[in-house]
Amino acid sequence: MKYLIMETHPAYAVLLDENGRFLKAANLNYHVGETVQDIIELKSLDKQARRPLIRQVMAMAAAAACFCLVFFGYYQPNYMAYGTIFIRINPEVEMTVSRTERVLELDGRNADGDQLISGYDYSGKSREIVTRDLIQRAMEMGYLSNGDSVSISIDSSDAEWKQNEEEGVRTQMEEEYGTQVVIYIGKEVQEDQTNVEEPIQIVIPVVPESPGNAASEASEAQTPSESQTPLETDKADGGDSGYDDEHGDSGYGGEDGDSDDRGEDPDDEENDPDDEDSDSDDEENDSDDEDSDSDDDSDED
Amino acid sequence: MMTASEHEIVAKVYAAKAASDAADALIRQYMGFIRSEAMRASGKYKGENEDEISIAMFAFYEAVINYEKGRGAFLPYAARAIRNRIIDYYRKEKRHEHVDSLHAFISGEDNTELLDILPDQKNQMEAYEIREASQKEILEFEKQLAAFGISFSDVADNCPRQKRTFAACRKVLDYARGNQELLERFVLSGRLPVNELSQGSGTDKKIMERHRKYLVAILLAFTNGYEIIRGHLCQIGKGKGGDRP
Repeated sequence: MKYLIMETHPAYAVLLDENGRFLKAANLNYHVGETVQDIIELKSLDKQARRPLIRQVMAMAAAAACFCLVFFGYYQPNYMAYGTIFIRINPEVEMTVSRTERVLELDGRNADGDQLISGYDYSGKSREIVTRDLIQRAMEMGYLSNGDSVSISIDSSDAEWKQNEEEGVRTQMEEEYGTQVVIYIGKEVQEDQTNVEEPIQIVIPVVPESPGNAASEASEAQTPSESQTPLETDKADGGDSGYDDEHGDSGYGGEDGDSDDRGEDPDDEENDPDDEDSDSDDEENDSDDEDSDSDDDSDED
Repeated sequence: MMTASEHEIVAKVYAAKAASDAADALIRQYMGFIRSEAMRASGKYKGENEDEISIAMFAFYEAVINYEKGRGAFLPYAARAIRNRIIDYYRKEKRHEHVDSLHAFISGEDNTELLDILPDQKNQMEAYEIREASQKEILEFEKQLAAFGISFSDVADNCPRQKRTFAACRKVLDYARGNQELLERFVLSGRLPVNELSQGSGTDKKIMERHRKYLVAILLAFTNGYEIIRGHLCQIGKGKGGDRP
């Protein structure tokens, strides 16, 4: 093939081939009008048109993969509601948690519950910490004192996860409050738990604000108005506290020595409550804790 | 000059893509860069690498044409293009290694090159005259094209690259060539009779519009006076073209 040089530029020349094609090629010292044979033709990347499409698809796929990774690996386990934990002291609180036990939402289910969580920042905290904090707050605010009961129920569509959670809550609560409160991981539906399918009930009995105990447990919580509001419980509690006063002191006096009893008590209760709370309480009328327990239960019923 | 920000360089490159003047200016501006890249790639020093520098300039131009913003900084991109082109060139040269240079000295004789003792295959004078004549013709052609607002560079950019498009354009040209009256009308009016050509050749009007500059150039070449160019285009008219002989 011969090429006729039509135009020269410093870097290239325009050639005309015998087929009538005009093309650009390296200007190897060409002059217009010359006929040449060996040329270095311009390679223009026409395939470009196709490549960006493939690249775009690849980029999209990569972005989607990243998104999936972030979503399923991080967002979903950490930020998607996976179950709810319902804590009932007297204030009732509902916790929505992710699979990794991150608390996503905290709702008061009654007026006391709202009060309990008002001003509490749960963001980014785990179920364990929030539970502990809430119980601490309940103690400080006087909702919860020694011998009272806390019931915790857990609901999730994942039965295995639910069981693990229950186990986790149980051990945590026992470790931290086993000696002070009675914990029920409830399996029965409580009246007001409407949207929870299979609640587990933990009742942690707490000795109501008897002057002696309250002084030791909760300092500022003593405002009577507050304590009166929660349901009818308080009337009964009031009665109890009188009872507690008498024996309570002695009970607490012997606390150190009686540590064995205390260790046993909660166990008994945990086994029993499924059958009947009141029975167990009646049998163990000796200790103050039990008494208050029975009171609480009866109130709830 | 070389410290111009990447932004400015890219802007210039894009301007150079659009206009051949801008491309020539850009190449002139970056001659130092091109030369140094050519030297780095070839390992030769000034004076002995004319071809390499031509190729490097061409590679730079090619880089300008093919550069896209997504491909990173322009200068490294151009440097790579230059290196690749020069390596390609050396590879091609290597194939001809066994061919003796015309400038090789003949063994035993000093200062006598092979070229000197070979008989002249062409009449130098005649060749020079032919070149002069074709140059004149081409310049005339260029002038006439310029009247249409078209340069040879434009034509080259506008030339159909795909085989099918090229064949379609060829059909238009074949039809026009057999219709002298139409060609004359075209030269006089300066407008491409798209409708008529489309009907006569069966080529889609869109294709003709897209390659209007190219068609104008070739049709002009078929008008009177361009004997040498027409002679060069001997392949056109020999039935189906498009493939290399």
